[in-house]
Amino acid sequence: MKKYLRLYAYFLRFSFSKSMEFRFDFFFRILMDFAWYGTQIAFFSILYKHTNLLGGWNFDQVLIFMGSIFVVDAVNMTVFSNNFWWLPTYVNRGELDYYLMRPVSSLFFLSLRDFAANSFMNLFFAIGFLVWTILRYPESFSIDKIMLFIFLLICGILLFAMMGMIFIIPVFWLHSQKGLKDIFSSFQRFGNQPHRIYSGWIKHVLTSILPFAFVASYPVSILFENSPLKAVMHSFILVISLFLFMRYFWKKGLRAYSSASS
Amino acid sequence: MPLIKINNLHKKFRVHKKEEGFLGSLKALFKRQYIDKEAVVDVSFSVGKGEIIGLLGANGAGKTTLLKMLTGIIHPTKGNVEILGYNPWDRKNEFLKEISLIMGQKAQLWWDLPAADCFLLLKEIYVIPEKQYRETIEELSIKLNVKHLLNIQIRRLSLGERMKMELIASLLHRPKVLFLDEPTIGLDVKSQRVIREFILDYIKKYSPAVILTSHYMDDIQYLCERVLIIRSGKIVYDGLLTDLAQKYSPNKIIKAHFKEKQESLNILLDLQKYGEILHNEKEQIHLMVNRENISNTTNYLLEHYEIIDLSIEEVDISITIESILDNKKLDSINDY
Repeated sequence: MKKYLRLYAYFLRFSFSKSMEFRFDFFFRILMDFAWYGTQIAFFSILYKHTNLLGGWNFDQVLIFMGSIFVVDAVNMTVFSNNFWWLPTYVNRGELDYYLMRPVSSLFFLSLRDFAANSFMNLFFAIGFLVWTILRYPESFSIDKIMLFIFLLICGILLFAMMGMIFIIPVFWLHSQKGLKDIFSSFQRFGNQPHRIYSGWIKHVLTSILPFAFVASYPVSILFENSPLKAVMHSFILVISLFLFMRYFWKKGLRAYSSASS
Repeated sequence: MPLIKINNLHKKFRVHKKEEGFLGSLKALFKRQYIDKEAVVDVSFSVGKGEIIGLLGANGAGKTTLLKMLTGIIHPTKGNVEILGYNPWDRKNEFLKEISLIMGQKAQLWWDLPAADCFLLLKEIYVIPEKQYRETIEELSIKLNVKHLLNIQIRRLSLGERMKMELIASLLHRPKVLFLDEPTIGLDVKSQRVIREFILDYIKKYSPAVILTSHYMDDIQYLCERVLIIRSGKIVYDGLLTDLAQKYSPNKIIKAHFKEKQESLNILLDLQKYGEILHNEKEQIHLMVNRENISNTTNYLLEHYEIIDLSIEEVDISITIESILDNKKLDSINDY
Protein backbone atom coordinates (compact mmCIF):
# COMPACT_ATOMS: atom_id res chain seq x y z
CA MET A 1 0.00 0.00 0.00
CA LYS A 2 2.80 2.36 0.94
CA LYS A 3 4.60 1.45 -2.25
CA TYR A 4 1.52 2.44 -4.26
CA LEU A 5 1.22 5.78 -2.52
CA ARG A 6 4.85 6.53 -3.25
CA LEU A 7 4.39 5.54 -6.87
CA TYR A 8 1.38 7.82 -7.09
CA ALA A 9 3.43 10.68 -5.69
CA TYR A 10 5.81 10.15 -8.60
CA PHE A 11 2.95 10.13 -11.10
CA LEU A 12 1.83 13.49 -9.71
CA ARG A 13 5.30 14.96 -9.82
CA PHE A 14 5.87 13.88 -13.41
CA SER A 15 2.58 15.16 -14.73
CA PHE A 16 2.92 18.54 -13.03
CA SER A 17 6.35 19.10 -14.48
CA LYS A 18 5.09 17.95 -17.87
CA SER A 19 1.97 20.12 -17.93
CA MET A 20 3.83 23.34 -17.21
CA GLU A 21 5.06 23.09 -20.77
CA PHE A 22 1.58 23.38 -22.20
CA ARG A 23 0.04 26.54 -20.81
CA PHE A 24 -2.48 26.95 -23.57
CA ASP A 25 -4.05 23.60 -22.78
CA PHE A 26 -4.29 24.66 -19.17
CA PHE A 27 -6.57 27.61 -19.92
CA PHE A 28 -8.46 25.81 -22.64
CA ARG A 29 -9.58 23.10 -20.24
CA ILE A 30 -10.82 25.64 -17.71
CA LEU A 31 -12.83 27.35 -20.43
CA MET A 32 -14.32 24.08 -21.66
CA ASP A 33 -15.47 23.04 -18.21
CA PHE A 34 -16.96 26.43 -17.41
CA ALA A 35 -19.03 26.20 -20.56
CA TRP A 36 -20.31 22.82 -19.38
CA TYR A 37 -21.04 24.09 -15.84
CA GLY A 38 -22.91 27.02 -17.36
CA THR A 39 -25.17 24.93 -19.57
CA GLN A 40 -25.99 22.53 -16.72
CA ILE A 41 -27.01 25.34 -14.38
CA ALA A 42 -28.96 27.09 -17.13
CA PHE A 43 -30.80 23.86 -17.92
CA PHE A 44 -32.04 23.41 -14.35
CA SER A 45 -32.86 27.10 -13.87
CA ILE A 46 -35.18 26.90 -16.87
CA LEU A 47 -36.81 23.71 -15.55
CA TYR A 48 -37.48 25.35 -12.20
CA LYS A 49 -39.25 28.22 -13.93
CA HIS A 50 -42.01 25.68 -14.62
CA THR A 51 -42.00 23.64 -11.44
CA ASN A 52 -41.02 23.97 -7.80
CA LEU A 53 -40.03 20.38 -7.19
CA LEU A 54 -38.13 17.92 -9.36
CA GLY A 55 -37.77 14.39 -8.01
CA GLY A 56 -38.65 15.80 -4.59
CA TRP A 57 -35.96 18.48 -4.70
CA ASN A 58 -36.30 22.25 -4.84
CA PHE A 59 -33.84 24.47 -6.67
CA ASP A 60 -31.54 24.98 -3.66
CA GLN A 61 -31.25 21.24 -3.26
CA VAL A 62 -30.63 20.67 -6.96
CA LEU A 63 -27.81 23.20 -6.82
CA ILE A 64 -26.02 21.02 -4.24
CA PHE A 65 -26.61 18.06 -6.52
CA MET A 66 -25.14 20.05 -9.39
CA GLY A 67 -22.07 20.89 -7.34
CA SER A 68 -21.60 17.20 -6.55
CA ILE A 69 -21.84 16.27 -10.22
CA PHE A 70 -19.20 18.89 -11.03
CA VAL A 71 -16.86 17.50 -8.38
CA VAL A 72 -17.27 13.92 -9.60
CA ASP A 73 -16.60 15.08 -13.14
CA ALA A 74 -13.56 17.15 -12.19
CA VAL A 75 -11.97 14.32 -10.21
CA ASN A 76 -12.63 11.96 -13.06
CA MET A 77 -11.12 14.36 -15.59
CA THR A 78 -7.98 14.92 -13.53
CA VAL A 79 -7.33 11.47 -12.14
CA PHE A 80 -8.66 8.94 -14.62
CA SER A 81 -9.69 10.38 -17.98
CA ASN A 82 -6.27 10.59 -19.66
CA ASN A 83 -5.54 7.01 -18.74
CA PHE A 84 -8.90 5.76 -19.92
CA TRP A 85 -8.57 7.71 -23.12
CA TRP A 86 -5.29 6.06 -24.09
CA LEU A 87 -5.94 2.55 -22.87
CA PRO A 88 -7.76 1.27 -25.99
CA THR A 89 -4.94 2.58 -28.17
CA TYR A 90 -2.37 0.81 -26.02
CA VAL A 91 -4.30 -2.43 -26.19
CA ASN A 92 -4.72 -2.27 -29.96
CA ARG A 93 -1.14 -1.29 -30.66
CA GLY A 94 0.25 -3.90 -28.28
CA GLU A 95 1.79 -1.35 -25.95
CA LEU A 96 0.80 -2.96 -22.68
CA ASP A 97 3.82 -5.24 -22.74
CA TYR A 98 6.09 -3.34 -20.40
CA TYR A 99 3.25 -2.54 -17.98
CA LEU A 100 2.43 -6.21 -17.68
CA MET A 101 6.00 -7.07 -16.83
CA ARG A 102 6.29 -4.86 -13.77
CA PRO A 103 5.86 -6.23 -10.28
CA VAL A 104 3.00 -3.79 -9.66
CA SER A 105 -0.71 -4.15 -10.35
CA SER A 106 -1.15 -3.42 -14.05
CA LEU A 107 -4.64 -2.12 -13.36
CA PHE A 108 -3.28 0.41 -10.87
CA PHE A 109 -0.54 1.46 -13.23
CA LEU A 110 -2.69 1.85 -16.31
CA SER A 111 -5.61 3.63 -14.68
CA LEU A 112 -3.66 6.13 -12.55
CA ARG A 113 -0.37 6.72 -14.31
CA ASP A 114 -1.31 9.86 -16.21
CA PHE A 115 -2.62 12.54 -13.85
CA ALA A 116 -4.06 15.46 -15.83
CA ALA A 117 -2.37 18.33 -14.06
CA ASN A 118 -3.85 20.74 -16.58
CA SER A 119 -7.38 19.99 -15.27
CA PHE A 120 -6.26 20.52 -11.74
CA MET A 121 -7.68 24.05 -11.47
CA ASN A 122 -11.12 22.78 -12.39
CA LEU A 123 -11.03 20.59 -9.33
CA PHE A 124 -10.72 23.69 -7.13
CA PHE A 125 -13.55 25.47 -8.92
CA ALA A 126 -15.83 22.46 -8.65
CA ILE A 127 -15.13 21.92 -4.96
CA GLY A 128 -15.52 25.65 -4.32
CA PHE A 129 -18.88 25.66 -6.05
CA LEU A 130 -20.10 22.66 -4.06
CA VAL A 131 -19.07 24.26 -0.76
CA TRP A 132 -20.83 27.47 -1.76
CA THR A 133 -24.10 25.64 -2.59
CA ILE A 134 -24.02 23.93 0.81
CA LEU A 135 -23.30 27.16 2.69
CA ARG A 136 -26.06 29.13 0.96
CA TYR A 137 -28.65 26.43 1.71
CA PRO A 138 -31.33 27.88 4.03
CA GLU A 139 -30.84 25.18 6.69
CA SER A 140 -27.54 24.01 8.09
CA PHE A 141 -26.48 20.35 8.18
CA SER A 142 -25.12 18.41 11.13
CA ILE A 143 -21.45 17.48 10.99
CA ASP A 144 -22.10 13.71 10.78
CA LYS A 145 -24.39 14.25 7.82
CA ILE A 146 -21.66 16.18 6.09
CA MET A 147 -19.16 13.42 6.85
CA LEU A 148 -21.48 10.74 5.50
CA PHE A 149 -22.11 12.86 2.45
CA ILE A 150 -18.36 13.16 1.77
CA PHE A 151 -17.91 9.42 2.25
CA LEU A 152 -20.75 8.64 -0.15
CA LEU A 153 -19.46 11.11 -2.69
CA ILE A 154 -16.03 9.44 -2.63
CA CYS A 155 -17.76 6.09 -3.17
CA GLY A 156 -19.64 7.74 -6.02
CA ILE A 157 -16.43 8.91 -7.62
CA LEU A 158 -15.02 5.38 -7.39
CA LEU A 159 -18.19 3.85 -8.80
CA PHE A 160 -18.12 6.27 -11.70
CA ALA A 161 -14.48 5.51 -12.51
CA MET A 162 -14.91 1.76 -12.21
CA MET A 163 -17.93 1.78 -14.49
CA GLY A 164 -15.88 3.75 -17.00
CA MET A 165 -13.17 1.12 -16.85
CA ILE A 166 -15.61 -1.75 -17.18
CA PHE A 167 -16.90 -0.23 -20.39
CA ILE A 168 -13.37 0.06 -21.77
CA ILE A 169 -12.17 -3.46 -21.00
CA PRO A 170 -14.16 -5.04 -23.90
CA VAL A 171 -11.56 -3.48 -26.19
CA PHE A 172 -9.43 -6.58 -25.56
CA TRP A 173 -11.93 -8.53 -27.67
CA LEU A 174 -13.44 -5.85 -29.88
CA HIS A 175 -10.27 -3.97 -30.84
CA SER A 176 -12.41 -0.90 -31.43
CA GLN A 177 -11.27 2.67 -31.00
CA LYS A 178 -12.83 3.34 -27.62
CA GLY A 179 -14.14 0.11 -26.20
CA LEU A 180 -17.77 0.76 -25.35
CA LYS A 181 -17.11 4.26 -24.12
CA ASP A 182 -19.89 5.81 -26.18
CA ILE A 183 -22.46 3.54 -24.56
CA PHE A 184 -21.04 4.55 -21.19
CA SER A 185 -21.51 8.22 -22.04
CA SER A 186 -25.16 7.62 -22.91
CA PHE A 187 -25.82 5.82 -19.63
CA GLN A 188 -23.92 8.47 -17.75
CA ARG A 189 -26.62 11.03 -18.58
CA PHE A 190 -29.06 9.15 -16.35
CA GLY A 191 -26.84 10.04 -13.44
CA ASN A 192 -27.00 13.75 -14.21
CA GLN A 193 -30.63 13.99 -13.03
CA PRO A 194 -32.03 13.45 -9.50
CA HIS A 195 -32.66 9.72 -9.06
CA ARG A 196 -36.19 10.11 -7.77
CA ILE A 197 -37.49 11.08 -11.20
CA TYR A 198 -36.92 7.47 -12.32
CA SER A 199 -39.17 4.56 -11.52
CA GLY A 200 -39.72 0.92 -12.44
CA TRP A 201 -36.94 -1.14 -13.98
CA ILE A 202 -34.80 1.87 -14.88
CA LYS A 203 -34.59 2.71 -11.21
CA HIS A 204 -33.51 -0.84 -10.41
CA VAL A 205 -30.81 -0.79 -13.06
CA LEU A 206 -29.48 2.56 -11.86
CA THR A 207 -29.15 1.32 -8.30
CA SER A 208 -27.67 -2.11 -9.03
CA ILE A 209 -25.83 -3.15 -12.20
CA LEU A 210 -25.19 0.36 -13.45
CA PRO A 211 -25.32 2.32 -10.20
CA PHE A 212 -25.28 5.81 -11.69
CA ALA A 213 -27.84 6.88 -9.08
CA PHE A 214 -25.15 6.34 -6.45
CA VAL A 215 -22.61 8.58 -8.11
CA ALA A 216 -24.06 11.90 -6.89
CA SER A 217 -27.79 11.68 -6.42
CA TYR A 218 -27.89 9.31 -3.42
CA PRO A 219 -25.02 11.08 -1.65
CA VAL A 220 -26.90 14.37 -1.90
CA SER A 221 -30.21 12.88 -0.84
CA ILE A 222 -28.85 11.69 2.51
CA LEU A 223 -28.35 15.34 3.45
CA PHE A 224 -32.15 15.72 3.50
CA GLU A 225 -33.11 12.33 4.93
CA ASN A 226 -33.30 11.02 8.45
CA SER A 227 -32.17 7.43 8.16
CA PRO A 228 -29.19 7.51 5.83
CA LEU A 229 -27.44 4.31 6.92
CA LYS A 230 -29.17 2.06 4.44
CA ALA A 231 -27.84 4.11 1.55
CA VAL A 232 -24.35 4.07 3.00
CA MET A 233 -24.33 0.29 3.28
CA HIS A 234 -25.79 -0.08 -0.18
CA SER A 235 -23.17 2.19 -1.71
CA PHE A 236 -20.32 0.49 0.11
CA ILE A 237 -21.39 -2.96 -1.06
CA LEU A 238 -21.66 -1.65 -4.60
CA VAL A 239 -18.10 -0.29 -4.48
CA ILE A 240 -16.68 -3.60 -3.26
CA SER A 241 -18.58 -5.79 -5.69
CA LEU A 242 -17.93 -3.54 -8.66
CA PHE A 243 -14.23 -3.52 -7.79
CA LEU A 244 -14.08 -7.31 -7.61
CA PHE A 245 -15.92 -7.61 -10.88
CA MET A 246 -13.67 -5.06 -12.58
CA ARG A 247 -10.55 -6.91 -11.44
CA TYR A 248 -11.91 -10.23 -12.63
CA PHE A 249 -12.92 -8.73 -15.97
CA TRP A 250 -9.49 -7.08 -16.36
CA LYS A 251 -7.75 -10.43 -15.86
CA LYS A 252 -10.04 -12.02 -18.42
CA GLY A 253 -9.15 -9.21 -20.79
CA LEU A 254 -5.43 -9.72 -20.29
CA ARG A 255 -5.82 -13.37 -21.16
CA ALA A 256 -7.15 -12.28 -24.53
CA TYR A 257 -4.42 -9.68 -25.01
CA SER A 258 -2.46 -10.59 -28.10
CA SER A 259 0.29 -7.99 -27.96
CA ALA A 260 0.35 -6.94 -31.60
CA SER A 261 3.93 -7.03 -32.72
CA SER A 262 5.81 -4.04 -33.95
CA MET B 1 19.42 -26.97 -12.69
CA PRO B 2 18.20 -24.95 -15.68
CA LEU B 3 16.66 -21.54 -14.92
CA ILE B 4 14.38 -21.74 -17.92
CA LYS B 5 12.53 -24.96 -18.74
CA ILE B 6 10.12 -25.12 -21.66
CA ASN B 7 8.01 -28.14 -22.54
CA ASN B 8 5.90 -28.60 -25.67
CA LEU B 9 4.87 -24.97 -25.89
CA HIS B 10 2.21 -24.03 -28.45
CA LYS B 11 0.58 -20.76 -29.42
CA LYS B 12 -2.24 -20.44 -31.87
CA PHE B 13 -3.64 -17.08 -32.93
CA ARG B 14 -7.12 -16.81 -34.32
CA VAL B 15 -7.30 -14.21 -37.04
CA HIS B 16 -10.30 -13.41 -39.15
CA LYS B 17 -9.95 -13.50 -42.85
CA LYS B 18 -11.24 -10.50 -44.69
CA GLU B 19 -11.87 -10.32 -48.38
CA GLU B 20 -10.65 -7.30 -50.24
CA GLY B 21 -12.53 -4.05 -50.58
CA PHE B 22 -15.75 -2.65 -49.22
CA LEU B 23 -17.92 -5.64 -50.11
CA GLY B 24 -15.46 -7.87 -48.36
CA SER B 25 -15.73 -5.77 -45.20
CA LEU B 26 -19.50 -5.84 -45.42
CA LYS B 27 -19.50 -9.61 -45.75
CA ALA B 28 -17.15 -9.96 -42.81
CA LEU B 29 -19.62 -8.01 -40.69
CA PHE B 30 -22.17 -10.78 -40.92
CA LYS B 31 -20.20 -13.90 -41.54
CA ARG B 32 -16.69 -14.10 -40.33
CA GLN B 33 -14.19 -16.66 -41.45
CA TYR B 34 -11.44 -17.43 -39.05
CA ILE B 35 -8.13 -19.01 -39.72
CA ASP B 36 -5.83 -20.38 -37.08
CA LYS B 37 -2.27 -19.21 -37.32
CA GLU B 38 0.24 -21.37 -35.52
CA ALA B 39 2.83 -18.98 -34.18
CA VAL B 40 4.73 -21.40 -31.95
CA VAL B 41 4.62 -25.17 -32.42
CA ASP B 42 5.77 -27.73 -29.88
CA VAL B 43 8.80 -25.85 -28.61
CA SER B 44 10.94 -27.45 -25.89
CA PHE B 45 14.33 -26.43 -24.59
CA SER B 46 16.05 -25.22 -21.46
CA VAL B 47 18.61 -22.60 -20.54
CA GLY B 48 21.01 -22.77 -17.61
CA LYS B 49 22.53 -20.16 -15.31
CA GLY B 50 25.05 -17.94 -17.05
CA GLU B 51 24.11 -19.36 -20.42
CA ILE B 52 23.22 -17.12 -23.34
CA ILE B 53 21.44 -18.64 -26.28
CA GLY B 54 20.78 -17.06 -29.63
CA LEU B 55 17.32 -17.41 -31.09
CA LEU B 56 17.45 -17.12 -34.86
CA GLY B 57 14.61 -16.92 -37.30
CA ALA B 58 13.20 -14.88 -40.16
CA ASN B 59 10.58 -12.19 -39.53
CA GLY B 60 7.36 -13.80 -38.35
CA ALA B 61 9.03 -17.07 -37.42
CA GLY B 62 7.69 -16.79 -33.86
CA LYS B 63 10.67 -15.44 -31.94
CA THR B 64 8.91 -12.51 -30.32
CA THR B 65 5.77 -14.53 -29.60
CA LEU B 66 7.94 -17.06 -27.80
CA LEU B 67 9.63 -14.37 -25.70
CA LYS B 68 6.28 -12.79 -24.84
CA MET B 69 5.02 -16.10 -23.54
CA LEU B 70 8.15 -16.58 -21.45
CA THR B 71 7.68 -13.15 -19.86
CA GLY B 72 4.00 -13.78 -19.11
CA ILE B 73 2.71 -11.09 -21.46
CA ILE B 74 0.65 -13.50 -23.51
CA HIS B 75 -0.85 -16.86 -22.61
CA PRO B 76 0.14 -20.00 -24.49
CA THR B 77 -2.42 -22.30 -26.08
CA LYS B 78 -0.75 -25.41 -24.69
CA GLY B 79 2.37 -26.58 -22.93
CA ASN B 80 4.23 -25.45 -19.86
CA VAL B 81 7.09 -23.21 -18.90
CA GLU B 82 8.99 -22.96 -15.66
CA ILE B 83 11.29 -20.01 -15.05
CA LEU B 84 13.07 -19.87 -11.68
CA GLY B 85 10.37 -22.26 -10.52
CA TYR B 86 7.52 -19.93 -11.50
CA ASN B 87 4.87 -20.19 -14.14
CA PRO B 88 5.30 -16.94 -16.13
CA TRP B 89 1.63 -16.23 -16.83
CA ASP B 90 0.70 -16.32 -13.17
CA ARG B 91 2.65 -13.06 -13.27
CA LYS B 92 3.63 -13.29 -9.62
CA ASN B 93 5.49 -10.23 -8.39
CA GLU B 94 8.32 -12.44 -7.11
CA PHE B 95 8.79 -13.74 -10.63
CA LEU B 96 8.50 -10.36 -12.34
CA LYS B 97 11.17 -8.93 -10.07
CA GLU B 98 13.71 -11.42 -11.36
CA ILE B 99 13.23 -11.04 -15.09
CA SER B 100 13.64 -8.38 -17.73
CA LEU B 101 12.75 -7.98 -21.36
CA ILE B 102 14.35 -5.51 -23.72
CA MET B 103 12.69 -4.94 -27.05
CA GLY B 104 14.63 -2.96 -29.60
CA GLN B 105 11.39 -1.97 -31.27
CA LYS B 106 9.28 -0.99 -28.29
CA ALA B 107 10.24 1.70 -25.83
CA GLN B 108 9.65 1.26 -22.12
CA LEU B 109 10.89 4.67 -21.04
CA TRP B 110 8.41 7.52 -21.03
CA TRP B 111 8.99 9.90 -23.86
CA ASP B 112 8.49 13.14 -21.94
CA LEU B 113 10.68 12.34 -18.97
CA PRO B 114 14.44 12.34 -18.58
CA ALA B 115 15.97 8.92 -18.01
CA ALA B 116 16.85 9.81 -14.42
CA ASP B 117 13.13 10.22 -13.56
CA CYS B 118 12.19 6.96 -15.25
CA PHE B 119 14.87 5.19 -13.26
CA LEU B 120 13.53 6.65 -10.02
CA LEU B 121 10.13 5.24 -10.82
CA LEU B 122 11.65 1.84 -11.55
CA LYS B 123 13.49 2.02 -8.26
CA GLU B 124 10.13 2.30 -6.48
CA ILE B 125 8.51 -0.38 -8.60
CA TYR B 126 11.25 -2.93 -8.01
CA VAL B 127 11.98 -1.75 -4.46
CA ILE B 128 15.68 -1.39 -5.19
CA PRO B 129 17.80 -0.45 -2.17
CA GLU B 130 19.22 3.08 -2.35
CA LYS B 131 22.84 1.97 -2.35
CA GLN B 132 22.46 -0.65 -5.03
CA TYR B 133 20.48 1.84 -7.12
CA ARG B 134 23.14 4.54 -7.00
CA GLU B 135 25.96 2.13 -7.68
CA THR B 136 24.21 0.49 -10.61
CA ILE B 137 23.34 3.78 -12.30
CA GLU B 138 26.84 5.08 -11.78
CA GLU B 139 28.45 1.94 -13.11
CA LEU B 140 26.20 1.34 -16.09
CA SER B 141 25.97 4.95 -17.25
CA ILE B 142 29.74 5.33 -17.22
CA LYS B 143 30.25 2.06 -19.05
CA LEU B 144 27.79 3.07 -21.74
CA ASN B 145 29.01 6.64 -21.78
CA VAL B 146 25.63 8.25 -21.18
CA LYS B 147 26.14 9.73 -17.72
CA HIS B 148 25.92 13.29 -19.03
CA LEU B 149 22.56 12.51 -20.69
CA LEU B 150 20.68 11.25 -17.65
CA ASN B 151 18.77 14.49 -17.16
CA ILE B 152 17.74 15.03 -20.75
CA GLN B 153 14.25 14.12 -21.93
CA ILE B 154 14.20 10.77 -23.68
CA ARG B 155 12.67 12.21 -26.82
CA ARG B 156 15.68 14.45 -27.32
CA LEU B 157 18.12 11.53 -27.34
CA SER B 158 19.39 9.72 -30.42
CA LEU B 159 18.29 6.15 -31.10
CA GLY B 160 21.58 4.75 -29.85
CA GLU B 161 21.52 6.82 -26.68
CA ARG B 162 17.93 5.86 -26.03
CA MET B 163 18.72 2.18 -26.43
CA LYS B 164 21.52 2.49 -23.91
CA MET B 165 19.09 4.06 -21.43
CA GLU B 166 16.64 1.24 -22.10
CA LEU B 167 19.37 -1.25 -21.29
CA ILE B 168 20.15 0.48 -18.00
CA ALA B 169 16.45 0.58 -17.16
CA SER B 170 16.15 -3.14 -17.72
CA LEU B 171 19.16 -4.05 -15.64
CA LEU B 172 18.59 -1.78 -12.61
CA HIS B 173 16.99 -4.58 -10.61
CA ARG B 174 19.67 -7.10 -11.65
CA PRO B 175 17.44 -9.67 -13.29
CA LYS B 176 18.37 -13.33 -13.09
CA VAL B 177 16.69 -14.05 -16.40
CA LEU B 178 17.08 -11.70 -19.31
CA PHE B 179 15.31 -11.60 -22.66
CA LEU B 180 16.83 -9.46 -25.37
CA ASP B 181 14.70 -9.00 -28.46
CA GLU B 182 16.83 -7.36 -31.14
CA PRO B 183 18.60 -5.01 -28.76
CA THR B 184 20.83 -3.54 -31.47
CA ILE B 185 18.29 -3.03 -34.24
CA GLY B 186 18.82 0.11 -36.26
CA LEU B 187 21.98 1.16 -34.43
CA ASP B 188 25.26 2.15 -36.04
CA VAL B 189 28.17 -0.27 -35.98
CA LYS B 190 29.91 1.45 -33.10
CA SER B 191 26.87 1.52 -30.82
CA GLN B 192 26.18 -2.10 -31.71
CA ARG B 193 29.66 -3.02 -30.57
CA VAL B 194 29.42 -1.05 -27.34
CA ILE B 195 26.11 -2.69 -26.47
CA ARG B 196 27.40 -6.17 -27.32
CA GLU B 197 30.43 -5.76 -25.10
CA PHE B 198 28.29 -4.33 -22.36
CA ILE B 199 25.91 -7.28 -22.44
CA LEU B 200 28.78 -9.75 -22.32
CA ASP B 201 30.21 -7.87 -19.38
CA TYR B 202 26.94 -8.02 -17.50
CA ILE B 203 26.60 -11.74 -18.13
CA LYS B 204 30.10 -12.42 -16.85
CA LYS B 205 29.44 -10.42 -13.72
CA TYR B 206 25.96 -11.62 -12.74
CA SER B 207 25.60 -14.84 -14.79
CA PRO B 208 21.89 -14.60 -15.65
CA ALA B 209 20.19 -16.94 -18.11
CA VAL B 210 19.78 -15.03 -21.37
CA ILE B 211 17.83 -15.51 -24.56
CA LEU B 212 18.84 -13.19 -27.37
CA THR B 213 17.27 -12.63 -30.75
CA SER B 214 18.96 -10.58 -33.39
CA HIS B 215 19.14 -10.11 -37.10
CA TYR B 216 22.80 -9.27 -36.88
CA MET B 217 25.01 -12.32 -37.04
CA ASP B 218 27.76 -10.30 -35.37
CA ASP B 219 25.67 -10.12 -32.19
CA ILE B 220 25.07 -13.84 -32.23
CA GLN B 221 28.64 -14.79 -33.01
CA TYR B 222 30.03 -12.49 -30.38
CA LEU B 223 27.65 -13.47 -27.59
CA CYS B 224 26.25 -16.95 -28.12
CA GLU B 225 27.81 -20.36 -28.20
CA ARG B 226 24.51 -22.14 -28.50
CA VAL B 227 21.85 -21.20 -31.00
CA LEU B 228 18.27 -22.18 -31.67
CA ILE B 229 16.85 -21.81 -35.12
CA ILE B 230 13.11 -21.33 -35.35
CA ARG B 231 11.15 -21.61 -38.56
CA SER B 232 7.36 -21.25 -38.85
CA GLY B 233 7.15 -21.63 -35.09
CA LYS B 234 9.14 -24.84 -34.95
CA ILE B 235 12.63 -25.26 -33.61
CA VAL B 236 14.67 -26.83 -36.37
CA TYR B 237 18.10 -26.61 -34.78
CA ASP B 238 19.36 -26.54 -31.21
CA GLY B 239 23.09 -26.84 -30.78
CA LEU B 240 26.44 -25.14 -30.94
CA LEU B 241 26.97 -22.40 -33.45
CA THR B 242 30.22 -23.99 -34.60
CA ASP B 243 28.52 -27.34 -35.24
CA LEU B 244 25.97 -25.62 -37.37
CA ALA B 245 28.50 -24.79 -40.04
CA GLN B 246 29.94 -28.27 -40.15
CA LYS B 247 26.59 -29.96 -40.26
CA TYR B 248 24.70 -27.82 -42.66
CA SER B 249 27.18 -26.18 -44.92
CA PRO B 250 28.39 -28.82 -47.40
CA ASN B 251 31.14 -26.58 -48.72
CA LYS B 252 34.39 -25.05 -47.64
CA ILE B 253 36.45 -22.37 -49.27
CA ILE B 254 39.99 -22.89 -50.53
CA LYS B 255 41.99 -19.69 -50.78
CA ALA B 256 45.04 -20.12 -52.96
CA HIS B 257 47.79 -17.58 -53.48
CA PHE B 258 49.61 -18.33 -56.74
CA LYS B 259 53.15 -17.32 -57.44
CA GLU B 260 52.16 -15.58 -60.63
CA LYS B 261 48.96 -14.07 -61.81
CA GLN B 262 46.88 -16.76 -63.50
CA GLU B 263 45.53 -15.24 -66.66
CA SER B 264 44.84 -18.13 -68.93
CA LEU B 265 41.33 -19.40 -69.25
CA ASN B 266 42.64 -22.88 -68.98
CA ILE B 267 43.26 -22.80 -65.31
CA LEU B 268 39.81 -21.40 -64.64
CA LEU B 269 38.21 -24.12 -66.67
CA ASP B 270 40.47 -26.55 -64.93
CA LEU B 271 39.44 -25.46 -61.46
CA GLN B 272 35.77 -25.29 -62.24
CA LYS B 273 35.78 -29.05 -62.39
CA TYR B 274 36.40 -29.02 -58.63
CA GLY B 275 34.19 -26.23 -57.45
CA GLU B 276 32.82 -22.75 -57.89
CA ILE B 277 35.21 -19.82 -58.32
CA LEU B 278 34.14 -17.07 -55.96
CA HIS B 279 36.97 -14.67 -56.41
CA ASN B 280 39.72 -14.25 -58.98
CA GLU B 281 41.97 -11.25 -58.73
CA LYS B 282 45.70 -10.83 -59.19
CA GLU B 283 47.37 -13.92 -57.73
CA GLN B 284 44.42 -14.85 -55.52
CA ILE B 285 41.76 -17.40 -56.32
CA HIS B 286 38.97 -18.42 -53.92
CA LEU B 287 37.30 -21.67 -54.71
CA MET B 288 34.19 -23.10 -53.03
CA VAL B 289 34.51 -26.87 -52.86
CA ASN B 290 32.44 -29.67 -51.40
CA ARG B 291 33.84 -30.95 -48.10
CA GLU B 292 34.50 -34.38 -49.55
CA ASN B 293 36.66 -33.03 -52.35
CA ILE B 294 38.86 -30.80 -50.24
CA SER B 295 41.90 -33.12 -50.18
CA ASN B 296 41.62 -34.04 -53.86
CA THR B 297 41.47 -30.41 -54.82
CA THR B 298 44.35 -29.25 -52.68
CA ASN B 299 46.49 -32.12 -53.92
CA TYR B 300 45.69 -31.23 -57.46
CA LEU B 301 46.48 -27.56 -56.95
CA LEU B 302 49.77 -28.23 -55.23
CA GLU B 303 50.87 -30.74 -57.85
CA HIS B 304 50.03 -28.67 -60.90
CA TYR B 305 50.70 -25.06 -59.89
CA GLU B 306 53.27 -23.04 -58.02
CA ILE B 307 51.52 -21.91 -54.90
CA ILE B 308 52.88 -19.65 -52.16
CA ASP B 309 50.10 -19.98 -49.66
CA LEU B 310 46.93 -22.00 -49.33
CA SER B 311 44.20 -21.94 -46.67
CA ILE B 312 40.92 -23.74 -46.13
CA GLU B 313 38.06 -21.87 -44.42
CA GLU B 314 34.46 -22.41 -43.43
CA VAL B 315 31.78 -20.65 -45.44
CA ASP B 316 30.60 -17.48 -43.66
CA ILE B 317 28.20 -18.59 -40.93
CA SER B 318 25.60 -16.00 -41.79
CA ILE B 319 25.35 -17.40 -45.32
CA THR B 320 24.79 -20.86 -43.91
CA ILE B 321 22.13 -19.62 -41.55
CA GLU B 322 20.43 -17.62 -44.25
CA SER B 323 20.19 -20.70 -46.38
CA ILE B 324 18.74 -22.65 -43.46
CA LEU B 325 16.17 -19.94 -42.83
CA ASP B 326 15.26 -19.68 -46.47
CA ASN B 327 14.92 -23.19 -47.78
CA LYS B 328 13.37 -26.30 -46.40
CA LYS B 329 16.64 -28.10 -45.95
CA LEU B 330 16.15 -28.78 -42.28
CA ASP B 331 12.58 -30.00 -42.41
CA SER B 332 13.56 -33.64 -42.42
CA ILE B 333 16.44 -33.29 -40.02
CA ASN B 334 15.63 -33.85 -36.39
CA ASP B 335 18.88 -35.13 -35.04
CA TYR B 336 19.60 -32.39 -32.59
